[in-house]
Parts: sequence; structure tokens; C-alpha cells
Amino acid sequence: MATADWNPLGDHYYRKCEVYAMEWSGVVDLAKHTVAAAAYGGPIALMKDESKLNRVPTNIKPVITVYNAAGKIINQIRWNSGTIVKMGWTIMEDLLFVQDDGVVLVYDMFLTFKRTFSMGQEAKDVKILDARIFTSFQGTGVAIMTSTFRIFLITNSDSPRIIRLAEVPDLNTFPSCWDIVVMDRQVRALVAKGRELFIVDQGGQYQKQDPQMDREDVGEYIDMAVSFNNKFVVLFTSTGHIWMGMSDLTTKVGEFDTKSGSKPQHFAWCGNGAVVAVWERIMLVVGPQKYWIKYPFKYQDIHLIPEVDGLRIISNDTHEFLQRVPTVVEQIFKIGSMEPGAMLYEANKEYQKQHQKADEYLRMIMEKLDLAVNQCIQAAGHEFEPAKQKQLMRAASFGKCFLTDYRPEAFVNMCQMLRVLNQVRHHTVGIPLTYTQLEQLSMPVLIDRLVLRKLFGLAILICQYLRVPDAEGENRIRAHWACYKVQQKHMEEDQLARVISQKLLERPGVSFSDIASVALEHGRKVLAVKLLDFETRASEQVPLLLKMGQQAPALAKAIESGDTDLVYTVLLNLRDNLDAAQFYMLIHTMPIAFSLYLQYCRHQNLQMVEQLWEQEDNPNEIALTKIVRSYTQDSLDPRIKTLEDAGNCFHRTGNTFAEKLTEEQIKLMRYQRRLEDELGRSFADLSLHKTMYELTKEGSHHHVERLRKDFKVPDKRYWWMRVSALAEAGDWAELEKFSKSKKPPIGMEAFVEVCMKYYNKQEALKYLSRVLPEHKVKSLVCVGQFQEAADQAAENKNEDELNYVLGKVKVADKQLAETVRGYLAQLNTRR
Amino acid sequence: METPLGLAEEENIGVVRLFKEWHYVTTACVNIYHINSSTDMRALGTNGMKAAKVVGVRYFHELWNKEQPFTWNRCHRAIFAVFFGGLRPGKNHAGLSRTPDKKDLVIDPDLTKPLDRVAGIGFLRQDLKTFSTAMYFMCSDQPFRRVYLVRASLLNMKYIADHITAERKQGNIRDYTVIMVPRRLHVCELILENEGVLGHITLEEFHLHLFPLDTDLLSLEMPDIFKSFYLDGDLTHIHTVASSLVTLQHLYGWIPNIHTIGKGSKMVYDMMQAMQEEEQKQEAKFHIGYLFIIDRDVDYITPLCSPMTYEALLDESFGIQCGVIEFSAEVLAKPKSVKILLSSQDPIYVEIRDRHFSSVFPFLGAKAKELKTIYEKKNDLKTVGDMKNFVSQDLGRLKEHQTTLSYHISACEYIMKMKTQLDFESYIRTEHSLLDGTDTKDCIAYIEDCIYKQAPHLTTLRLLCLLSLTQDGLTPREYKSLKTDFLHSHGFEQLVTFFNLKKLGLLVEQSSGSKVTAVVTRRSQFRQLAGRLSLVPKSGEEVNLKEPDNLAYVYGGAYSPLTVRLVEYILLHESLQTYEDLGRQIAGGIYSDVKYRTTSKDLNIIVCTTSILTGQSLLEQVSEKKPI
Repeated sequence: MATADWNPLGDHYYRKCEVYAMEWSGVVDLAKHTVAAAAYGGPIALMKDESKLNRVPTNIKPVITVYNAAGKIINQIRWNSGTIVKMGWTIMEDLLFVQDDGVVLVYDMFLTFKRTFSMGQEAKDVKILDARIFTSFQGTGVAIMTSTFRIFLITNSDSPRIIRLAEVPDLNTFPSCWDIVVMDRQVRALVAKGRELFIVDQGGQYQKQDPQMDREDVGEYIDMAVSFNNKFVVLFTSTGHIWMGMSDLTTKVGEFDTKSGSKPQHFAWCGNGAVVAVWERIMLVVGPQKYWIKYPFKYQDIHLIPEVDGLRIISNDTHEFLQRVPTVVEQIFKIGSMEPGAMLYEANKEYQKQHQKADEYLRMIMEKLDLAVNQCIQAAGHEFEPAKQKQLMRAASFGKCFLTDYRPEAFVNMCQMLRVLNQVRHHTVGIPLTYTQLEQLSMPVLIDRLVLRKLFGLAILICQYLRVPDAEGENRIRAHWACYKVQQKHMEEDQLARVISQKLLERPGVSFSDIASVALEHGRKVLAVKLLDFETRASEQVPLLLKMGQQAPALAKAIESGDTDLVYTVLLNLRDNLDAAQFYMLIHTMPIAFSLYLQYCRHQNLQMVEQLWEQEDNPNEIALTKIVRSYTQDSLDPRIKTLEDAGNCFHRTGNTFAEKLTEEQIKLMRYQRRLEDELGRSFADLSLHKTMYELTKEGSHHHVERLRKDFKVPDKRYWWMRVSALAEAGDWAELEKFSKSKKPPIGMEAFVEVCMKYYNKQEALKYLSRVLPEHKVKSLVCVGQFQEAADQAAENKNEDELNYVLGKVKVADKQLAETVRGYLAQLNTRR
Repeated sequence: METPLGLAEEENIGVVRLFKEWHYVTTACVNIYHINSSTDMRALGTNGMKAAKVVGVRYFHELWNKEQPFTWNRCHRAIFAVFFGGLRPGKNHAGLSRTPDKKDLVIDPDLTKPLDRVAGIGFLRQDLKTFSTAMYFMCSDQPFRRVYLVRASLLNMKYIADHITAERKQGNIRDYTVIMVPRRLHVCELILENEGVLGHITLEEFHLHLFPLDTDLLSLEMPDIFKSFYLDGDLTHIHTVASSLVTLQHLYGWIPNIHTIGKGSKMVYDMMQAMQEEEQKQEAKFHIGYLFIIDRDVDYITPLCSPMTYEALLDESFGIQCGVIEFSAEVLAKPKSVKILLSSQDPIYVEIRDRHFSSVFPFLGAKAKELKTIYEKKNDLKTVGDMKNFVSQDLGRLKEHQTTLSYHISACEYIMKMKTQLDFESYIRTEHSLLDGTDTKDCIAYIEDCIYKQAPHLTTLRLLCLLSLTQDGLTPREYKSLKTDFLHSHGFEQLVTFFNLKKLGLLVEQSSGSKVTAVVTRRSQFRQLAGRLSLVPKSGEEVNLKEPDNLAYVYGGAYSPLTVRLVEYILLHESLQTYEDLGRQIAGGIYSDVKYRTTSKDLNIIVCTTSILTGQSLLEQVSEKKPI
């Protein structure tokens, strides 16, 4: 009979069914343990509690044991830290231990230590009395009550940030009960102080609450419980009164008088619809409308774990689940139900018996057959026993036959889900999820939890079965497997690397560098190097190689990748970690690395560049760097010194020409200093030519003469310099004198040109007559005597010159242009 | 002395000097948000990176969609959305658009021009509360978040670190975001870390690669690539170039035929292959058939010669930056200088940009007359309707044409004036004889004259380089005497320039082993190539400059650019054998990856470049300057 274990509570039914017979039966006595179990069918942690045995306090550290939900042992350790105040699970299924000094230790479910954090200095100083571990909007939170009755909390154990809650006024004894409520991204504490109730929040505010009661004399609040979704709160008073309401304590949902003077051993919500209170041999389920169910108990000690849709009850022998019978299940199995689903279920049963009643039943629900099928499918999801699931699914399948355009997705999905659920519910896996819980948790999280339990094979099979894309399914799981595998110390490195590569090669998205870094963390460097060889992305590979101290391969890989940024990363790391000689040796062999490092140095410091070239033994480059550097130096002496060094370097390379030029420069600089002393103005940084030019302009001709001799300035250059400088200075007399000093190597035309440059036509004309005929045309054009220029060109019989004149004339004077064209024509005909 | 920074005077100097160059914007976020919430960009707020990519794609598509010409307006909105939306979401404080408080935006001067060109900083200016190029932007002492948008270079990082250190010393605490373009470099992080400021900074990256400067021209606008790669052997930018080309392939499908000419090009190609290996297989569709990647060092001659088309002369005389040219007041004979955009959108410019300079002036004259006749139509207008038509349709356009026309005419006149002053004819004659390989003696004499007359040193260097490139180096005697003259005239620091040029192979000395006899018999590398690819027209062959049928018209009939001839050669010759043969004559060789040949000869050419250079800017980069 399907409804045998149903109990009515008002309009609804509650059922309690056994999920597992505990494997620990006969070994574990819950009475001697403190229990913490994770929600969503998570593992159970037991701490053997000496204080529960009422013995004299001893210094023996407790033993912690973790079991799966079916009571199968996972691991056991003897505690070796401080006094544990509270133990609890995070949503990531890590185990938290809150110590009395406010330190929180995080372990994974295999009791491997992960990390630790503190709840603040104040907690450390005054010790803590109690703690709560709760699910917040950001993850799992921890709240503590210090011996000064202050509450501190964090909302996310992954990145703890301590929040101090407001003070409860005049609280100087331990509150009779307290808990944490999470509402609208706000975490508040609910604290009962005798007959008073306070809500304290993060903003430093407190509110005194006075829940409305039917009776006046209800006594003090001695226990409370918050529902799984944080929406409801239940209070228990010293007179045995139960008050149920919304978690803001303003709206009442129900009230009940248990007439029990003693505080229940356990007090919790079952889903959102009922409250469970447990005394020694009795369990009372109380609904909002004063309805109640009483379950007798054979065991003394149990533990309650609230779930989203019910309550798990763990005892020494069994693991039971108490829930409100889901509506669809109720619709189908309730005695005398006329729901389509119920009829279809009956019809199928009759059909199995080959009875004609099947047809009768079917006809009754023909119009609502699709609803009936859906109900059966849904109900199957909520059943624990495969036999029942099968019956319901058969009924659905039977009903489906009579529907023409029914979409099969719901049916197929449910089949898949049930198959997965039944697999994970198996006692070796021990995750007793209900369908509702799975919907909340989602499939990817379930797969993650399997991976967390190191059930890689099952996880992969489920992924394959559900056709999860490889990248997020199988490949990821394999990578996790590999990370686990590298921690197994008993396997040979070679063998491990081979096994891992076999399973992971050719699987895109698997990061060998991640696996290698896990191997490295566990001190298996050789293995890590081997694994890294499989990594194809240099950007992942190189940093890890560096971390492992494999400098040369890291540099080689970085260069091979062609990504200079990576090369830089390696280079700068090497520079800091190797001694200079080693470093230079290494980059000496790799020109790409060398030139990159050179760039880096150039931005930092030119002397570093010099050192680098010295290491390379390249005197030519040293010299050039020195020259560049000399220009950044302020005073003359160090500059000359630097240049002398540069000259020596050139000497070493045998570049006598450059050496000579450098020496000349030094000579020039020395001379410029003399000039500065003598003439009282700076010639620094002027070139030889400019210096002479400036001197000529000033009329210091003897200095110019001296420089000319010292530097063996060629005649032509000297003349051009002198002519231009004199013209610019407007020293026309000197210019004329100069023109007569000897036959100018640059020709008289240069004189004409410079005069015209400074717009002195008169002076220009003086020299015009002395220009040789073959250069005269240009000069004539220069002074603007186009007619004469044309005549001269014609006389020279030079076609190019005529064209040149023509080009200059064209626009200005049409008549002259004609003349020139005439000359050109003449010249052509004569040929 | 109290300075606006409140720092002691000496401390200030270093800081102030670098501020001069930074452009600075204080933004109020509301406005930026406005861009985001505009219809197209709604998605950006939630899924920044992905959406930015989508918008990026759309924006490039718009650019090339010939049927529906894009407008700069739409385009710049899109790129700004990319710009601000591209910042990684999730970290609330990171993106410009995400926090409601005010921020300072500091833009790298290297980026302002190109960003202005494609997105319009003016638009930013008008939409934002304040925008100033003032040097003391630190005056805002409210705790604004500061956002730096900079090229990821070591030097920039040092500047930023200096800023932050100075500010913190002063007790001015704020948050900083540094956005690196085109990608985040670890080495930059290291520098910031070494300087002890990394903790205060949020780092982001903004994948901004190619800037579209015209419908057929994309540029990275990174002029320093040339120097860092060829001179310093720094391979950083191989990645930049490769990833920009990969992005291009993402937008336009894979490119089946790739030819690389030169050493760096091959490296770019290899890296592109490596990048694409990591991604999925490309689809079979493609829009671009051929990709030629060409090293600059394959062809130094082309930039060193003097091009004679109008656009080239504009660039040489005024300098075109990101397609924008600024005519000074002097040129226009007007009270104010004018910036105009040179692009294919300008109908007059399209007609003249590629003409030989000699035929530009007559064209402009004719155009002016034409405009005048259209303008005179107004006298023939009979009815009010005609009048209305004229005013509403023709008049505005006419006015616009007239202004641009007047700018171009003024520019032409200015160029002519400059060229006559500088004795341009002799210069060109020398250049041409160098290309011809005739009258080398005269050429050397002219170069000497240039030095003696103190012509601008870059002009002289240009000729020296040409001399060396065409002759396979200078004879030791010429080299020594010219170098001595040059150093004596332009300063000793130019010694470093000469070494740089030698390293680049631009100006080299012939090894003294080869004696005079060898010089006579042997043809230089350039001459061999010139013969093979007919770069230099045969003597006596006239090149029509007005209606060109020969490529050489670009260089006044003296020379056809090597790169263009190479591409032409490869497209026309089918067999790989011939390339290999040719490749032996080219530094770095030719590598071809041909998968699918198209037979169509009707080609549409798009040019992508790291930056646009002239002979002047090329030499300027590698020549040593005295520190000021």
C-alpha cells in the first residue's frame, strides 16, 4: 500500500521513509558524538565528544570521522589543534572547525587541511562561546558569539571579511538562544534574552521584537530554528509554547502548545511547512494550524538535517527522510483520488492484469490524458524506490500510447534523471538526493560533487550518458583525475606521466600546466617537468618552468613561441635569480633574448647597456653607447673622458677612422673650451663647421685659420663656409677682399649666390663679371637678368642652359620666352 | 615656490616635462553611459568583451561596405562603444562606463591622432564636461579615478609610475586604471611592479590594431616599429602585426594565397599560422584573395626617392598625419591655420591625389573655371522653383568645393615656391642620375656641395643613402671624405647615425678588397634587380606624366617602385620556380603559400601598414639627435 507510511497533517500528508540502513550500525553511538552533516545529502562528520560522556575533562584530543550519508567511513583523524566550538559544512562540502580562539580551520571531506582564517583580534582576545555556520547569499558564512556576547560574522568563508553586528542592549549573560537569519542580502542575528527578542544587523541597528502570542504568560524563549530558505522562524518558550512566523517576526503563521516544560533535544524545520521537535523517545511534527503528528522513536539519539524539501533523520541504525508528500504523489496515491494521474495509474495496473477495466478507466480521463501522463512522470521523480518509479513510468508510457502529438522530452528527461539519481543514491556513493533537491543543486554541481568525492569513473559515465559536451564534462573530469593522480606518491613518475598523457592527450581544453603545477605543489618536480612537456601553450608552460627553476628551457620555449612578452618575463626573472655571469652566458647564446634585454636596459640606464656590450665583447657598440651617453653628461671633463674611452674602444676594433674622428671631436671640444674662456661665449655642442662659421661672423679670423689648419678643412668647404658666414654677417668689404685673395675654388658664382641669398644685388653684380662664361647663365638668372642669361646660353650653345632659362622665364615674360624658344630652334636646326 | 602641484620646485621638473605631452580629459560618466545605452550598443553593459567584438566587426564591415557608405559619425560611435565596452566587465570599477563617478582620462599622445581620426575626440570633447590639454591636470584633487589609455611601451610605464609616485607622495590617493593598447604586456606589469605602483592600478587591455584611414588604407600607426625591428632587433611587434592580420582574417575570412617578401614578413607569417592553429578551422569563404607581406628593408630606394604625385608632395612638404593635413596660416594667406581631412570622400582630392604634380595645377585651374560656370547658372534661373532647387542643392556643394579647391591651389603654390627656392631641379637631376647609374662623379660633387652649403642634413643623407644603395656601397675613399665632411658640418653625434645606417644596410662602405677593376665589371644588386623588373625606364623612353601609362610617372619617369613591381611580377608569373630565382636577389627571400589561385586580373587593393613614412621620416627615426 503506497500510503502506508503517510500521516495526515491538516490538509497535507507527511511521510517518513528509510533511505539507508547505516553501515556504521553497531560501531557508532551517536550519543557519544557531536554530529555535523552537510545539506543535499552530503557527508556526515562525527566528533567523539568526551564531554558528552560526563567524564572528568581530559586533555585527550577528539577524534574526527567523516562518513558518507550511508554511514560508510571516508576518513578519520585525531584532532591536533585547539578546542573546537563548532563544526559544520560549507556549500562546497568543506568542513569548517571553529575554535574557541576564533580561528577557523578548513578541511576537505577527506580531512585534508586546506587553509585557515581568523574571526578577528577581538574574538582571539576574549575567546568565543558559540558559533553558527550558515548559508549566505555569497556562500557559507560563520557567525561567532564572544564571551563578551558580541557577534561577529563573515558571509563568505572563501574570502573572509569580518563584520561586527550591533550590540544587544544589556546582554550580560549568554543568550537563551540565538541564530542567524539571511534576508535580502543582509545577514542578521536573532538573539533571545529571556523574554525579550532582538534582531541585530550589520548596520549597527538593533530592533526589539515582540511576536504576537495568543497567551500572555508564555515564559522565556529557550530555543529557535530558522527554515532552510530563511523565510520562516520558529520559537520555543519555556512553557512549551511554539510560535511559527515569518523571519522578520512580525507575521505569525501558527502557534502550538506542546505543554512540555523541557527544551527539546532537537528542534528544526521540515521543509517550510512543519516544525519537528524531538524529545527523548518522541518526535513531534507540528503544522501551522495546530495539527500534529507524533512519531514514537526507538532510538535515544538522533540527528536532524534540514533540507530544502524535508528533513533527514540520522540515527545509530538508519537514515530516514521525512517530507511532506509531494502534491503529485498525493494526487495519484491518495485513497479514492479521481485525479487523471491516479486513474491512469490504475488503468495501467488493470492493463497489466489484462483486465478490461483498463479501458474503462482510460475512457474516463481521455480528455485529460496528457495531464495524467505528466502527473505520473512527475510522481515517479519523487519516489525513492525504483520499483515504484518503474510502475509510474510504465503508467506514463502506457498513457503516452494514446496521445498522438505528445512530446517525449519530459519522459526521456525523467528517465535520465531517475537513472542518475538512483546511481548516486546507491549506498556506496551515498548521496540521497531527492528530485527537488537535484533541481535546486543542478546537474553540473552534482557532477562536481562526484568529482570531489573522487568518483571520477561515475562522473565520466554520467557525463557520457547525459551527453555533456566534452570540454565541460569528460575532459574536465579527466583533468581533475590527473591532478588527483599526481598526488599518489607510490607510483613511479615515468609511469604516472605516461598514464596521464594516455588519458589526456588529444583532449582539447585540458591544461597540462595546471596538472603540472599540482604535481609541483606536492613536491614532484620531475613529474611536473614531464607533464609540462605535453603543454602546447607556451604562455602557460613558461611561467611554470620558471617556477621550477628550469631557466634555460623556459627561455628556449619562450623564444620558440615568438611572444616577446614571454621572453621578457623569463629574462627579468632570470636576471633577478641568476648571478650576473650565468645570466650573461645564457643570453649570449640567444640573440633574440639578448636584443630584447638590450631594449629593456636602454630604457633603464645606458651604463647597463655598456656593461652588456662589454659582456658580449663588442667594443664597437660600447663606443657608440658611450658616445650617446656623453651627450647626456653635463660638464666637459667627464664628457671628454667618456669620448676618450669610446676612442679606445674603436682602437680595439681596429677602426682607425672612427678613432681619428673621435679624437678630432675631443680636440674640437677642448678648443671650444679655450674659445669660451677667451671670447666669453659658449661654443659647446657646435660642429666644427658651425664653430668656424660663428667665429667668422664675429671676425675672429685667426681662430678660424687655426681650426682650418688643425682639422685640415678642405679648401672648398672652407671657402663656402667663409663666404656664407661673411655674407650673413653683412661684412661685404671682407667678402670682397676674400674674393681677391686667390682664385676661388668654388667659383665666383658662389659669391653671387650668397649675395643674392641676403638680397644684396649690388654686391652680387660686382662679382657677376668675374664669373666664368660656362657658369654665368645660372648666376645671371640668379640676379634676375634673364635676357642676358638667354644670350649667354645661346652663346654657349648649350641646350640645357636654354631650357633652364626658359623654365625660369615662362610665366613672367612672354616675349623673352619667345626669344629663348627662337634660340633653341636655331640651335636645333644648326644641328 | 608653490606650484600647482604643491610640490617643491625641483621635484616638479621631471613631472612637468612629461605632462606637456599628455592630453587630458575629465569625464562625467553619465555621458559615456549615454553611448552605451544607445540602441546598437545595448548589449555592451552586460557582456562587454563579446559585444565589443561584434560591434568591432560591424564597424569594419560598415567601412568596406561599398553599397552603403559608412559615415564617420556612425563609425566613431561604434569605435567608442568598442573602446569603452571592450573593457572587461565584472570588475565594477574597471570600465569607464561602469562606475557613476567622474574620472580623468589620460590619452597617450601617440594615440590621440589616430583615435581622433576614427572616432573623433572632438566628439568626446563636446559630450564631456571638460576636456583640456592643459599640462597641469593634477589640479583636480577630488578623488577621481584616473584612466590611462596608452600604448604598451616601457617608456610609457615609467611615465605613469612617475605620475603615481609623485601624486601619492603628495598624499593624493586615488584609483588608477591603465588600459594598454594593443595588448597587455607582462613586461609592463613588471616595470610597474618594480616601481612599486602596481598595487594601485587596475590593468586592462584594449585590442586596437588597425586604424582605417581611408577606404583602402589601414594603418597600425606605429612609426617606431621600423626602428625597433630593423635596428634594435626587437621582435615585439611581430606579434602586433601578426595579430592585426589575424583579426583582419576573422573579419574577412581566411586569405588563401600568402606571399611574404623579406625576413620579418616570414616571421609574421609563421606567427599568424601559430595563432590560427589555436583556433578552429576556417570556413571556406573568403573576401581577400591575396596577401603580400613585405619587409621595408627589401625596398629602401622607393621611400628615399622623391615622389612627384600631389599627395606625396603634400606629405613631404606639410606632413599628413592620419589622413589629416594642417595648412598653416602662412600657406593659405589667411589669419588662421586650417586642418582638413584628405580622403576619398573629397571629390576634388580623389581626382588629383595620384596625378603627377605638373598636371595638378592645370586641373585645378580647369576645375575652378568649371565651378565658375556652374555658379553662373544662377543668372539663367527663370522661376522661383529653379532658384529654390539651385540654392538647396547646388549652392552648398559649390561652396564646399570652392573652399577645398582654394586650399589645394594655395598648397600647390606653396609647394612650387618651396621647390624653386631649394634648387629642387639639381636635386632631382642628381637623384635621377643616381638611379640611372650615370655621372656618379657629378652626383658626388653635388652631395659635397650640399654639405658645404649646409643643406638640411636629412636631405644630404637621403642622397648619400641612395648613392650607397644604387652602387652597393661607397668606395672607402669617398666614404671617408664624405663622412668626415658630414660630421664636421652636422656634428659628431652623427657618427652614431652612420653606424645605424650601416647596420640597416642603407649606407655602407665597400670592402677595401674589391679594387677598381672589380667595380667596373660588377653590376650592383640594385642594377640587377632594376634590369630584371624594369624599374628604371630605358634611356630615351619618354614617360607620359599627364596621362600615365607607366608606373614610373610617380617618380617623374625615373623609377618604378620595387615593391609594386614585385607584387606585379608575382601575380603575373605562375611558377614558384621563378619566385625562388628572384628571391635569391632579395634580402630575406620570398616565401609563398598558395592555396587557391584566382584568375581575375581585376584587383582591388587594400594597403595595410605599420605606419606611413616618407624618406625624411625614415631617416629621422634612425638618426641620432642631441638630447635637448
